[in-house]
Amino acid sequence: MKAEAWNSKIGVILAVAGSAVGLGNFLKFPGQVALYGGAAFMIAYVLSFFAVGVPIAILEWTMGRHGGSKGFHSPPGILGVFCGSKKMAYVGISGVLLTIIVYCYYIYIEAWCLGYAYNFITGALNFSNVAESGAFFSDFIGAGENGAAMSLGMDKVLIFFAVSFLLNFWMIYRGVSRGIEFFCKYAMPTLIVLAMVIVVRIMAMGVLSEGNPDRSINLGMGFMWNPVKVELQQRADADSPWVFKERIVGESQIERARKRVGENALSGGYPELRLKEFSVLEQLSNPSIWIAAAGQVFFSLTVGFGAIMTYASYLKRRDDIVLSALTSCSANEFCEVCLGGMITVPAAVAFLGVSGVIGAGISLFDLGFKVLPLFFASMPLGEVFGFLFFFLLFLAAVTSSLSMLQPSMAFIEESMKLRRNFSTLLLLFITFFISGFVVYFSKDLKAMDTFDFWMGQVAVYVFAMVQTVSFAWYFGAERGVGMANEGSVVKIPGFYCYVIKYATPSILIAVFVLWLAKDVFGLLGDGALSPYICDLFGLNGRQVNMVAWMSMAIIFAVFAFFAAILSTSKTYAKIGIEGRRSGK
Amino acid sequence: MTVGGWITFLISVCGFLAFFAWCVYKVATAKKPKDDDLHGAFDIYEIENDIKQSQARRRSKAEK
Repeated sequence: MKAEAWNSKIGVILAVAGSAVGLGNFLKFPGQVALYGGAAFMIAYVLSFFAVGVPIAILEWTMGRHGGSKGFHSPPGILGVFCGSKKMAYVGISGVLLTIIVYCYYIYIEAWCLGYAYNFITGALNFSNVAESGAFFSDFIGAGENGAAMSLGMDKVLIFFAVSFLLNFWMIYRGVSRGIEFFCKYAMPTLIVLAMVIVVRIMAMGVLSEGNPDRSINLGMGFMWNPVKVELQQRADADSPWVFKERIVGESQIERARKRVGENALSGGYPELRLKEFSVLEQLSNPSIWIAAAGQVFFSLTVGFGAIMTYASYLKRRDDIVLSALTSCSANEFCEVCLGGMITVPAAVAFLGVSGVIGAGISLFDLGFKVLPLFFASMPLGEVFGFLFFFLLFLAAVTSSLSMLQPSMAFIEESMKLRRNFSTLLLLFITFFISGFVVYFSKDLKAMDTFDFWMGQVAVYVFAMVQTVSFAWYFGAERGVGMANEGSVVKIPGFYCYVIKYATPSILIAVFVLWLAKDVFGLLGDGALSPYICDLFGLNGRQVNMVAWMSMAIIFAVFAFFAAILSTSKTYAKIGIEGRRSGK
Repeated sequence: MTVGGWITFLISVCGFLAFFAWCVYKVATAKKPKDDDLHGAFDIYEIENDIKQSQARRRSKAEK
């Protein structure tokens, strides 16, 4: 079988940056900054970037290049050969499993972007309020009932799903250099140019609605970046706690709110109102901001998935990896902070105002598929700009989904020694059924959400921790950093060994434990058990959800299938011997 | 947007822009490594040789 390799250094950097740049850069990041407050969130974000994001990216690149130099390109092979143990190859199956499962629901979202781009350019999207755009979205993805997404028509997701699915497999079939590298080389610059065009257009808008001077781009920017967060709070009586009522942004709104609070104080009635300002330090003392910032960096850079190590395994033995890792990370940050931070929230606030945006929701899907289409539909040449925006999201999604497919492709080729057309066909067969399951069970997006929670969040954290501990403690941080520095244009400074050895695993474990305590088991915060656990066991008044159980069964079945392949494959017999040879 | 907001925004955007520009500059001006050793191929032979050697050792031990 002919060995695959990257054609150029810029090609691999763009491919890795492409795997990182996705919907989260343009839709999730702005919402997070706005929710947690500009300066405080950015402080936590930058610290997480250098203490978690960059170290894990570098260690994935290092492990990948090392595995590739030994002839292994899939996470099981790479992790096994890096740790010199076949048991670790079994652990590495998690990297294949989670990327293939994430691909199977990510392709569904990718199809939404393509569908929205098509419907914008054909002028089919004309909304006048959030309810209309929300109804179209729900109908388009088939969220009303299971099987609703399976009908044909340009106002349904199915055709776009088929197109996106085939495009991904065509690229994967063409291989690493002729497929993935070729696509990313054109898609990434196109995506950046499109984002710049949209940023310039949005920044040039000023006030969108003449009757509402408070709805402006400037106010949207203030909502995101103002360091001091101002909230209007209320309480029912003197013994009740103060609760959030409204987020206040802009001098005139603050003035109005002050007047309201003054009048309320004079009347002496309840509910009592107050204006509360949160300084940067006060905001930083909230653990949620650290979980959100570390999570955003972690998921945005696509570290911990095993996709980067697969890409890095196609490098040559003395190819630079430190600078490549930094460049791909910085490209992702450029797209996220410099471009993504200037599109979604400012545009949404300019159209709906701060309270309108909070009311509509600032989650990824609410902002992207309910609020923004409304904004584009109402602006001059909105069809074109709406098309450009959703097409850029589609490109970002394809570059990411390709990176999710390649680990499985590498594993199948490596373990079963199949020719490319047969391995592509087998992978297509597996992913077609799993993603078909996601598209069919579209009611409330239950299948997608279950996969996302267990694979896209829990498994990614665990796999990232395994990689970090293997690199820093099992292999040795000093030895690993020395290996990373081989052939590198930029050398990793010595103190980074301590960051990789102590800071990265500690932060990762702390964030994971806090996240489990707060969002999963409800031990902190509102005390509510995660709905994903309630779905499985019928807790908190919920019924046992069969779609959630079927999703779990699929995850275990795929894991068992891959484990069976690994245990019977002769390829991995080398790993233990290689481990003993290197003294492990 | 307040003055603090502008400062936060400019530091964040300019900081990451400068970082990205520096990386791109370093990639563009980096010298190509001289040795062009291909990955994989030799190592696979190396590992296969190891397997053969270890099998031979096991066989000779068994014979003894």
